[in-house]
Formats: sequence, C-alpha cells, structure tokens
Amino acid sequence: MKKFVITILVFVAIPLFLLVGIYLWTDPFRCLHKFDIQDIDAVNREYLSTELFLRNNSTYHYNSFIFASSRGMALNTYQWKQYLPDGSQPFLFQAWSETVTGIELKLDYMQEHHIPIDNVLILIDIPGTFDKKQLSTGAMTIKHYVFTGEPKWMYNAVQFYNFIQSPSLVFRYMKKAIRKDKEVFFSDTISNDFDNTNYLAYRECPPQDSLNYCSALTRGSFIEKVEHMRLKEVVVSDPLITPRLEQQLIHIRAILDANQTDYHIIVSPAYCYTNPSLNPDDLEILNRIFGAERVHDYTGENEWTIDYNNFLDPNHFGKCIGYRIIEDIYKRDNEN
Amino acid sequence: MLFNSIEYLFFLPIVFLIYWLLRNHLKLQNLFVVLASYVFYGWWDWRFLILIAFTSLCSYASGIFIERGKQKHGEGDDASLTKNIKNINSAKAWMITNIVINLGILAVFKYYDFFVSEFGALFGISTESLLLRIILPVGISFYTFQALSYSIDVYRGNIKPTKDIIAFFAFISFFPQLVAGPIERATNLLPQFLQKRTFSYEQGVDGMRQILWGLFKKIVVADNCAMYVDQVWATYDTQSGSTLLLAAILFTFQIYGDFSGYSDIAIGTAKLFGIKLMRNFNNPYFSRDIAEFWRRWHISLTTWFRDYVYIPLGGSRVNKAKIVRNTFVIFLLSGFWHGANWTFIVWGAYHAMLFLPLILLGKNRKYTNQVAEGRWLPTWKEMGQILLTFMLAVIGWIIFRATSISEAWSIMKGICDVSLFSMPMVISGLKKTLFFIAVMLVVEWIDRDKEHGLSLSKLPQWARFVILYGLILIMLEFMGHSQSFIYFQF
Repeated sequence: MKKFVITILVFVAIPLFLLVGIYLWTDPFRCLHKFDIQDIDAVNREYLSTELFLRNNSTYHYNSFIFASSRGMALNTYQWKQYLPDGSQPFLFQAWSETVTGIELKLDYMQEHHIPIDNVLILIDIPGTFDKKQLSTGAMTIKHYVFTGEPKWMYNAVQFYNFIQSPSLVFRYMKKAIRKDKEVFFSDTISNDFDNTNYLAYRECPPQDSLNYCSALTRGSFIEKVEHMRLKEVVVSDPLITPRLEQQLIHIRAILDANQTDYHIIVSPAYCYTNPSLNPDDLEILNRIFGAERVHDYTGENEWTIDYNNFLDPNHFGKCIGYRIIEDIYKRDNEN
Repeated sequence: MLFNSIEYLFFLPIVFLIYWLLRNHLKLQNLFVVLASYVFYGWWDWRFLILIAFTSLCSYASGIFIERGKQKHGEGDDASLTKNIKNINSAKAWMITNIVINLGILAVFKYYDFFVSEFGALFGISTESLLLRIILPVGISFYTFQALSYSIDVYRGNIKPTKDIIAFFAFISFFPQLVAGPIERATNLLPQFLQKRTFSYEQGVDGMRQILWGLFKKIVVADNCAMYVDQVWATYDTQSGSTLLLAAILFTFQIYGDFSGYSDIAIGTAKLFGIKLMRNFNNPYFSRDIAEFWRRWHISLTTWFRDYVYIPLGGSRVNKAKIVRNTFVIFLLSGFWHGANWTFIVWGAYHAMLFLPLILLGKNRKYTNQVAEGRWLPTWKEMGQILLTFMLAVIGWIIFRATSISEAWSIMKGICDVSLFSMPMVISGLKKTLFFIAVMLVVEWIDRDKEHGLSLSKLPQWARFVILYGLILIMLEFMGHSQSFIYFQF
C-alpha cells in the first residue's frame, strides 16, 4: 500500500513540479507578472481586455463601451466614435464567449466604481450569450476576478489547471519563452480594437476583402464546413432566454437607464445556413426589455447572412459586416 | 458523477484512502463503500437513490425468504413432504415476487411510455395524456439485472443468501460498476464483500494502467469519433455514401471505445479496492464470426441472458424449432434491454439472424481461442473473416445508432449509392481520430491475450513511465468534446 501510494505520488509529482515551474516562468495567461501590452499572445481575452481597461482608464477616461464576444473583433471603435458625441472615448470590452452574466458583472463594476457609461453596444451571439453555463472556467472564457469577486489565487489556480490540461499550450509558451519571441495579438493599446488598420477599407465589402482578412487556411476550412454542414433551410433557435436571464437583462436595462446611456442591442449575424436565427419569443423579450427600436436582429436569412464570403468562419462575420452594422444601426437611429 | 470528470479526480483518491484506512473494520469499510457509491450515484440525481435502495432492500429480503422457503422439514413422511413442497413453492413465489418488483420498476421507468404510445399508434388512440415522461434513472438496467441474478442464484442454490445487509447493499451499489456494468453476479462479487480485502501493489498498479487505457479509449477515441458521427448523423440525408459509411465505421469504434473504455475504468477502479470484477470485453472486433463476436462483446450481459434465459429455455439442446425460438428470444431481449425503441429490437433480430445459421450448423463454438494464437499476424483467411464480421457489426450499429427504422434504412440506402465511391467528408481532426483508432487496434492486437491493452508487464519502470506520460499527454491534447457514456442511457 505504502509502495503504491509513493509510486503514484512520484508519478504525479515529477510532471507537476515541472509544470508549476513552466507556468511560473512563462506566465501563459499573463496573470502572474505585469505584462507588456505589445507582447500579448495569451488566449484569455477577457482578462487582457480588463487589464488594459484598468490600466488605461485613469488616463483615457473611457465612457463608451462595446460588450462583445469573439464576434466583436469585427467591430471598430474608431468607426463607432464618428456616431458618438464629441469627447466620447470608446473601449471594446471583448471577452471570448461573452455571456449576459459577463456583461452584467462589468456594468455592475462600472456602476460601483462611478465609471461613466454614456454609450453602449451589446453584441449578442446565438446561442453563446444565453448559454446555460454563464460563468465558464475555461482558459479562454474565465471571467476576471475583479468582476466575480473571487480571490486572485483561485483565478490563478483555475488557470494553472487549464494550462496543464493542454500540452500544446505548455509547449507553445515554453518555445516562446526560450526564443524570447514577441508576438502582437491585438494592435490597439487604447481602444482594444482587434485590428485598427484602416477601417474605411471595409466600407465597400467586396468578398475578397473579407477573405483576405482571414487566412487562406481559415477560408478553406470554412468552405469545407459549409459544403457539408449546409442546412436545407434556415432553422430557428430554441428559446434561450430563461426567466433568470430575463431578470439579468432587466437589471442591465436598469443600469443603462440609471446612467442615461445611449445603447443598442445587436443580435449578431452568422452564416444563416449553418446557424439558427433568434427565436421570436427571445426577440420579443429583448424588445420588451430594451425597446424594439434599440434591438437590431441580424440573424436569419438576409443579404449579409446568405453569403459565406461575409464570414471568417460560420460564426464570425468579417470587418466589412462589422462596418455595415454600425452604419445601419445609426442610420435607423436617425430615422427614428 | 462521470469517470472523465474533474469531480471524480478528487472523489477517487479520497475514497481510496479512507477505504484502506478502514481495512481492519470490514463492516465499516462496506458501509463506507455504500456511502461513497450513493454519493457517486446521487451526483446525477439524489432522488434515484430511493430507487436503488428499494431494489437492494427487496432483493436482500427476497434472498432470506427464498432460503427460508427452501429449508427441509422432517424425514420424508407425507406431512413433511407436503410441507416441503409448500416451502419450495413459497421460495419460488419469493423469487418471482422479487423479479416482478424489479422488472416492474424497470418497466415503468424505461418501457411504459413506449408501450403506451405504440399501443395508441396501433389502435389510432391519442395516448398523450397517459404518458409519464419520467427521466430514466442512470444505469437502472444494470443494477436491476444484478439484483435479479442474486435472487435467482439463491433460489437455484448457487449461493447462500447473506444476512449482512451492508455487504449486500455494497454489492448492488459498488460505484465503479454501478451505472454501466459489468453486470456482476452475486456468486462472484458478493463473497468479496463478505471477506477482508487486502491491497496488492501489482493489482493496484495494473488497475491504474487499466483506468488510463479506458480513459484513452473513451476521451481520445470515442469522443473524437463522436464529433464526426454526430455531425454526419444530424445531416444524413445530405451526405454521400462514402461519408455515411465512414460515419458508421467511426460509430462502430465510438461505441466500442466508449463502452469498453468505461468497463476498463470500472474494472481498474475495482482493482484499487481489492475487488475483482468480471471481464466485459475481449477484443470483439478481432472476432472471426458473429458467434465469437457475441462471446467477446458485453460479456456480462451476454452471459446473463445465457444463464438466466437461454439455458432455462433449453438452450441448444432442444429441437431445431426451439433453438430458433431460443436464439430469437435472447437476442430480442438483449436488444430490448438497451431501450424502448424499435431500432434496438430490430438490431437484436438482425444479430439473431446472423447467429442462427451458425448455431443450427453447430458452428457457433468454432472459434473459442484468440485469433492468430502464437503468431504476430493473422492469416489472409482470418483477416477476411475479421473484416467480414466487422462489417456485419457495422451494419448492426447503423440500426442501433439510428433514432428510427426509417432513418436506419435511409442511411443504408445512402451508403449503397454511387457516391460511395466519392471522397468522404473530411472535417478537422478526422485524420488524428483515424490515427488513434489505429493506435488502439495495434495496442489491443499486441496485448490481445491480456486483460487490457496496457499491461506493459515486460518493460522496465522508466519505459513504463515514458509510455504512461505519453498517453496522458495525448489524452490532454487530443481529448474530444467531453460526452457522457453512451451506455449510461441504458
């Protein structure tokens, strides 16, 4: 028995010590040491967005926010700023697989810390934003501890556990640390835009632009997926907004009202032959809570979603569509 | 609680340590087994604990009453003879009562809605309001059959009933095999709970390796196959013949990796507790005919039906008409055991039809040894037999996986299309899935005379560590999307 326990402990301890060492050395999620904003190759987008926000806010005094998941990488705050009052300072508060709870926690935090919330865009994914698991513990999707209120060590422990679950991450960061590679993950250190290269280039939305935007590999795999996954007709999602989520959305609306925020809710487009459209019941709930004129549903079959050239993959729309979304909602806003 | 979950990673070592700390207190140790097993099972839904406790209690009581009924009185005079006949009848009545209660529970939870809706469909009556729509308790078919085997074995005199209620509850609820088998016999498992267990280093280490091998089959092979299979099955009416065939083959490996992986984890875990469970799989896809396949696939269920249904019906020592009847009875029951759906029944009938010619020609026990015994590779003839048996199994699994007979038929028609000769759909990760299937087959071929694929008995410790670390790295890196075990639904 003793021999068995010792054998198991030795078997577990050798790689564990090694992994702890590598984790401390490489700091893959940038949550142990202060990181260089230009050297970010970490996968936990929420943490990085939050850290950037916390570092910059005292300098730039953000007052306008886009709350979005990975789909938000096609939105551009520099374009958005054109439609905002003078003096607006927008920030793309992006978190992979952002949820209602994630958005609610961020707004709560801002309210509590008296951060002005003058303008807001909320980008909703179907089904991601309304996912049953609202607080994920995955390496990419875990929420920052300033929002959840959990101790920092707990966050680190969970991230260490995530790290050891992925040997490719271990090897990737080891290689990077040995070579002292510097990779730029996102380029804008003020707005947190995923890519702030000339957004005007996306105005015309020719197919090749969006295809050029993603790598040839992504395009290939997307086309392959589309060929085989393509449904005969567009399907409607099951109702996703539970009574609990509805209460959270009402709370979000209350915060926005308390701050007299000018806001828009965007239900993001996705390639319609592989993605369901928003359920009418859910749309009705959103309209009821936020007002129909402020809810923009781009799901289902429409001129953007029928063409896969507008997408980087079945779920992520390209920059050109991001450009058009912002253009469209403010055009509608003016009409109203 | 799932074996492939983070909760289980903490649960197992804690239970292991406390269990062996109690090694000098048999009753306490058994009580702890019951407690741990109930926590393990209650993790899904604590309400189902009532059901398992009730099943255990009924079977425990039936054992005592059956034995009491079997006690002989007097020396053979008429009065004693009459009393003995009455007692035997009472023993039989207790056994039947226990069978009725247990099968009754199973019928309500698993089959009631099926029968009611089929009855309604047959007579064109709406049965919507009569349907119960109860959630199926996890593993109900497994522990029910285990409980049934006990009372039948007590009645037959194969085992003395135990008065130790805690040991009996541990026998029914022992967590490694509670939700997906192997379906243990009281003759094997119950005596192990009645005597002091000792820890063996070799057994413990072998158990850990078997757990690791089971996890590999589940999370690397089965879960990766599932990604392709689920995608194709969801859109089967738009897929090419080659894609459908590939999906059917991958499902064949998925269900094997899933179920035999679970069995390996269960048997390996039991070894850590000094308990020896029966083998449930013995390289079924290396079988040379369908009879051999059924001796190697889900052994604990096959032998259960053989011992408690087939042999009592006369087995193969009856006339040919009865052999046909008996064969169909056990295969149909076996199919129906899996669930209340016509697909399972047709799957059973399909295998009965494959099995029947072999048994009628007296060739059902032609291959009882391991294929290519004493050789590295099979002969061409053996290779052909293995491939043919495998493809017959694939056809069966299409029926099994389908949600309806018409779906199964559409998929089979889709396979027999000219598009069978086109390139199948390729999705990200397909190549690695095929590679890991090959790894599994090669490893299991090499170790086909061993209990599991990772015995590593002849290697030095450092080499074993390297292989085991390599396997863990592969599991961490290439695990598919975590899925529950397929057989939990049965």
